Formats: sequence, structure tokens, C-alpha cells
Amino acid sequence: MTESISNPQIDEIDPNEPVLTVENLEVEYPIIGGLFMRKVGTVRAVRGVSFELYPNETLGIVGESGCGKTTIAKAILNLVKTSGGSIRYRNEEIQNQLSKKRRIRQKIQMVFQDPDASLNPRMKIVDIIGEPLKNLLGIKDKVELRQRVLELMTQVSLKAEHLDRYPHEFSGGQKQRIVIAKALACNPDVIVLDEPTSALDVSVQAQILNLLQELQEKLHLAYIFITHDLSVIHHIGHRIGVMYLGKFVETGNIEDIFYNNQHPYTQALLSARPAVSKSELQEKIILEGEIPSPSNPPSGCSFHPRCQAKMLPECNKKEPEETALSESHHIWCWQFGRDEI
Amino acid sequence: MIEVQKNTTNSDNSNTEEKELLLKVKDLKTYFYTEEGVVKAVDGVSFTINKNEILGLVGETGCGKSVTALSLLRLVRSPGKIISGQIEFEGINLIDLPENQMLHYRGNTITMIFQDPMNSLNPVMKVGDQLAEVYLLHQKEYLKEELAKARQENSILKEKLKQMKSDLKNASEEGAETLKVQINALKRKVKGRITLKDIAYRESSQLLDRIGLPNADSLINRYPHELSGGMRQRIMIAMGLACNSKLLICDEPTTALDVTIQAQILDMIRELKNRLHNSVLFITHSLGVIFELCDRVAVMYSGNIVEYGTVEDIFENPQHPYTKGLLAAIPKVTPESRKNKLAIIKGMVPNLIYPPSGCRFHPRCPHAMKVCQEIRPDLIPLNNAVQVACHLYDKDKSDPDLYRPLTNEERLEATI
Ligand SMILES: Nc1ncnc2c1ncn2[C@@H]1O[C@H](COP(=O)(O)OP(=O)(O)OP(=O)(O)O)[C@@H](O)[C@H]1O
Ligand code: SF4
Ligand SMILES: [Mg+2]
Repeated sequence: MTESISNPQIDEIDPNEPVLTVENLEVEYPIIGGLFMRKVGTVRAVRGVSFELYPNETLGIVGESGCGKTTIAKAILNLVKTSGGSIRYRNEEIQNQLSKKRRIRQKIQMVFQDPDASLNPRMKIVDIIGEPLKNLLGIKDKVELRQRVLELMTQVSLKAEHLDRYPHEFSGGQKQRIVIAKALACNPDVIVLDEPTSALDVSVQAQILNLLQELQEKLHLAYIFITHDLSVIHHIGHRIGVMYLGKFVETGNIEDIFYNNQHPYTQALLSARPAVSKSELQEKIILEGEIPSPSNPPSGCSFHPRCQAKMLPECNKKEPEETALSESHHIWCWQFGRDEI
Repeated sequence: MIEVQKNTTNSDNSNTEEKELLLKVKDLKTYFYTEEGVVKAVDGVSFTINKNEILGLVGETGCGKSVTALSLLRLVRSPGKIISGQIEFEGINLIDLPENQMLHYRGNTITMIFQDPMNSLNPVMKVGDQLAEVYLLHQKEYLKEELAKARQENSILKEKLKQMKSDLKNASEEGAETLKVQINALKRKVKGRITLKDIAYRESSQLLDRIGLPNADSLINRYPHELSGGMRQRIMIAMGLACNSKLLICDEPTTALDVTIQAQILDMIRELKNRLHNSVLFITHSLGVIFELCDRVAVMYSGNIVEYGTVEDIFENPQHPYTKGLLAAIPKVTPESRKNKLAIIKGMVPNLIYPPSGCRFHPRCPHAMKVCQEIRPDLIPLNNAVQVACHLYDKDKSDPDLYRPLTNEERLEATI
């Protein structure tokens, strides 16, 4: 039964070829103000972010509120305009034009934190999930449509009796399953998940995380998983980018980020995570102050006003450059890769 | 029902100091009479809070944590109603108090901090004015004492100033110069009339300083919307603490905040509790926050407390199948934890209008027996440190018909 939903491109997929390549991504939001609501300035929400995403892989983007995680997602999906860099699907430039490229648009799907935002309360589940099948794949036959929707629903453990119900009749976890089923409708190969479990209770979160893992194995999906919860990304992620104020500060695989982290911000973030057992408890690094506003980022390394490491002369003067600690592990911090003069 | 009020005797995890009882809640029931039916939001909840202790109340959405907290203050609004139970605060049953006496408890003796700071701060009042108001309302005696002290210091300074001025007349030219400098410096310190309000502002600014908000002097002149969410939340908590009440109830005070800010706030609550020796009821759905902050914990499921005891025991060795399931569902950060799938609790939280019979967890419980469907388990002490409401711990399990596993047909069908 799952035959028709399995990814038709699997055989063509080269696991060493990135599905998505983001290079030096820049996104700016205008600051509107004054008497005439004119643009009075810009916020650089994303400042030169680069990464590659491979099939079967979950790339985690972690950071605190306002650091630009969701903006990256929106830029990929062409929901905001970028102001620099490049976004390529396989080898095709899609930056600022995805909405016009229908064929590729189907291949990249998004799941948001709040399922209600993606579910029209006046539509039945069968019509919600059927919408992309109808509009993007051109399936018009009612019986076939229902059959296809049911297959998708089975994939996310929903039942036939749910077909004709309305969103309000479902719990938060079930609604998120509906959103995931809808995202799967067009055989995507990239799903951007923006805090997909943050609004859910832990027991429901566990169900959704397991579901996402199963789907990835079965359909060879590539996920961009945006979250503020490091335990979640430790569980489901493969590679991770830690963001602060619009930039990556440290990137690496699970081993690098969780067991060999070097950036003072990564270390503070990890230590702040509340533990649930003695073996996980660690000395807290309590950061002072708040995340500064991206409209007015601190000079030099934007983390320097809160950084607990010893200040170097460069810290408040120059933005740190990317330094490779190993092939997989990269860092942006003056404590590393300082030109020895 | 037996309460763990004084776990003074024995066992390795109880320290020798006597624990004094502050609050005792017994068999509390709060129902909502809605059009669809009676929502049994809190259905027979019992717990105690000792002096100088943080009790955590943890459970998933809709299990009745907030309603429990609101019931303690008798703030449940229609169609909700406390239908039975006792809420004994230092020996006085709050349930029976006339409303005007209850008013005295709210805010003075028991303070509550809500989840959403925007709703609790007055948007058109400067932060400093709001904090000062709290001080004037709840710590007037203390402010008066401080005022007397400040006035006395001020009059001493005034005296000194007078003296210096008269000295100036007889001083040599050189001496006069230095005296003038000293007089000017002193003039800046001496105030005209100090009022109670001045003291309230001084205390407010000091409190903001203490909770790690920089530039407290400029902060008190700002309006709530001019501050970030994290700042507002900290100010809310500061206001709660300014009340200096015997019991502080925090309902999810850190849920909307980033982890680094959450860590700051937990640190602050801990530090203030240690200094002021008051008690805290901390409500959250985050087991991690409970583990790091609380002394004891009550785990709620569907309007009942299912397990209750010291944090150490319950996290290390959970007894109730629901607590076990919850702890197992949290992704851990250890190298081994990645290798396995997350454990899940099947199904969903039940409807509170038609809750399952017997143990409300039975449709989802992997160990459910016939008795679980028929008899509601009481919260009984398992040892000195832990109480649990589950038939697995019944003493007499001799009835083979009651203590057999449920058949699949008997199990209520749990969706997904
Ligand atoms: N005004 C009301 N009318 C009807 N039912 C209500 C009302 N307030 C609360 N309830 C019900 O009481 C139950 C317990 O609610 P409560 O707010 O205490 O849950 P909670 O544990 O605090 O959940 P959360 O983690 O989401 O804050 C819920 O089922 C809720 O729907
Ligand atoms: S009483 Fe029965 S159903 Fe309830 S938790 Fe215990 S074993 Fe499970
Ligand atoms: Mg609540």
C-alpha cells in the first residue's frame, strides 16, 4: 500500500550529492517607523549562513529566540526575500524564485510549530491533505484522491475514520500528524521542520519524533530541523549548526557539538538545558544579560558582551572568521584560529 | 489518607532538621459545570508543602495544575467551583474563610505568578511604580522601619552640614576651600523630606539589581512594552518576591523563555528562597526544571496526583507507570541514548468529562489489570519518601480475578 507514496526518485538519489546547498545566505528585514511608516533602517536577521543538506540526513539548527532560525527556513521556502547568497536545489538556483518553480516547490515542504496555522478550520482532513494532491499533482478523481489521502494518513498512524473530521476534533499531536501527512503528499525530498514538537507535551513529542525518524528511513527524506531544544536535536539530528544573532557560531556532528564542543555559547546553551538525571547534571554556566537586538548587534563577535571566556583584543573589534577544528567541526570564535603574530 | 508531613524519622534522604508544615491540601475537588458536562479538572488531590521547601507540580497539558493553583487562592471562576476538600494554611482552613479574610491571604501571605507576564503587568504604568506599589501594599511595616532609619541618617547628615557651615565662618582660607568641597559633597547626599514612596522606589531598584537586571535605575522608568519578554518575566517574578509572602505559587513562569534566561531565573528563585526561607509551589510541564529546582514533586495525571515524593527518589526510581513513561519519553543527552527509539506512552490524555473508570491511566497503562478498571487507586505511602496511586503496589493481591491483566477487548480503545 505504501508503494505509491514511496519516493520515486530514490533510485536516482546519490547520497553524496547535496539536495540543498545554501551559501552565504543574507536576509534583511526593513525597520519601519516614523510618522510616515517609512523604512528607517534594516535588521540583518541572517548574516552569511552556509550549509549543505544531504539525503537521509537531519541537519539541526539550534539557537534561542530571535537568532534567525525561522528566517532561514522561510528564505529556503521563498516566504521571505533574501538579500544575498545562493540557495540551490540539487544544482538549480532557487533563491527568491521557488514559488515560480512548481516542480521544485513540491520537493521542499515545511512544517511549522503551530499546526493550527497550517490547517484551515473549515476544511475536512481529506480535503486538507488532498489539496496538494489535487493542485500540484493534478489528481482529480474523487475515489483515487480519497485512496491516496488514506495512504498518507496511514503513514502517520491516522485512521480511515478521521478522513471526514475537522481539525478542531483533533489533539495537538494528531494535528501535527495531519500537517506531516500533507507535507508528504507530493513526495518531497526536503522537509523543513520549524520547532515541530515545541508546542507538544513530552509523551506526544516522543511519538512525533519516532514518526519522523521512521519516515526518514523509509522515504530517504532530508530534514532541516529547527529547534531550541538540544535534547531533541541530540536524539534526531546528524549534523548541527548552533546559531547566535544571525550567524553560525559552531557547526559539527553530534560528537563534535555535544561531546567536544568548543564555542563558549554552545557550552553555555548546553549547560543551561535542565537535566532529568544525575548523570546529565553539569555545572551551569549562567550567561548574563539578554540576547541583543539584531537591529543593533554588538561590534566584533556578537556574543562578546555575554561571553564568559577571557576577552581577546579582537573579540569586540572584528567578526571572527570560520576555523576548521576538524573536517566536520567548524567554529567562529577568536579563541581559535587567531593569526599568530 | 496519609500525608508525608514530617519525614523526620530515619531513611538516608531525610535530613535531621524538623520539617514544619505550611500548607496541607486534602482531597481537593474542583469541577467546571460546562454545557457539555461536568469537567472534573481536579478530582481529589492531596499534598503538603513544608516551610522553606520547593514543591513541584508536574504534568501534561490540561491535567489540572493551574486549576489546583487557582483553587488554593480560591480564584476559580464560574463555571468552576471547589466542591470539596480542605486547604489548611498554617492550620487555618482557607475554604471556610469569608471572602474579606481570604483577601488578606491573597498577595500578602500567598502570592501567585502567572505564565503570561503581559497579562499581569499593568501596561500603562512604569515598572518602578508597579514595583513600588507592591512594596507599599505588602511590606509597609518594613518600609516604615527603613524610612525611620533613612530619616535618622538624614538628620545626622543635616546636623553635620550645619556644623560644617558654622565651622566655615571661623576657618582659615585654606581650610575653607577643603570645607567647601566637603560641604558640597554632603549637600548632594542630604535630602529634603524623605517619604515612604522614596523608600519603596529605593527597594524596587535594589531588587531589580539583585535579580540580575542591569541599569535598574533606568529600568524603573520604563513601561512594560519597552522591555523584552525575558525582562518582563523577571520583573513579574521580582514583584512576586517583593510580596515576601510565605508561599509563592509560580505557574509555568519560565515556559516561554529561552533556556539561558530560564537558567538565570531558576538560579534567582533558588537564591532568594535560600535567603528568605519561604516556600514555593512550582508548576511546570518540564521534568527537567523540576529536577533542577525542587525538593519534592507531585506528578499529576488527569486531575489526580499519581506519584508524590522527593525529587531524588522519583527521578532515580519512578514507581508509577505514568511517571516511568514520562521520564522515558524525554530524549536524554548521553552517548547511548541516541541508539534507541524513544519510549512512548500510547494513546492520549483522557477527556475530563467522561474520564476512564478506576485508574484514569488504565487505557494507556502497559500493566493494567482488571482491578484498575474497577477501583480507583488511593495515594498510599510506599516508603518514607514516596507515595504512589497504583494497584501494582496493593498489599493484598490475592484475588485472581481482580489482579489479572486486562484483555485487549477489555482495554478501552486508545486512539493512536
Ligand atoms: N473555565 C473553564 N471552563 C471549563 N473547563 C476548564 C476551565 N478552566 C480549565 N478547565 C479544564 O480543566 C482542566 C485542567 O486545566 P488546567 O488549566 O488546570 O490544566 P494545566 O495542567 O494547568 O494545563 P497546562 O499545562 O496546559 O497549563 C482542563 O481539562 C481544562 O479544559
Ligand atoms: S493502577 Fe493499574 S492502570 Fe493504573 S497505573 Fe497502576 S497498573 Fe496501571
Ligand atoms: Mg496551566
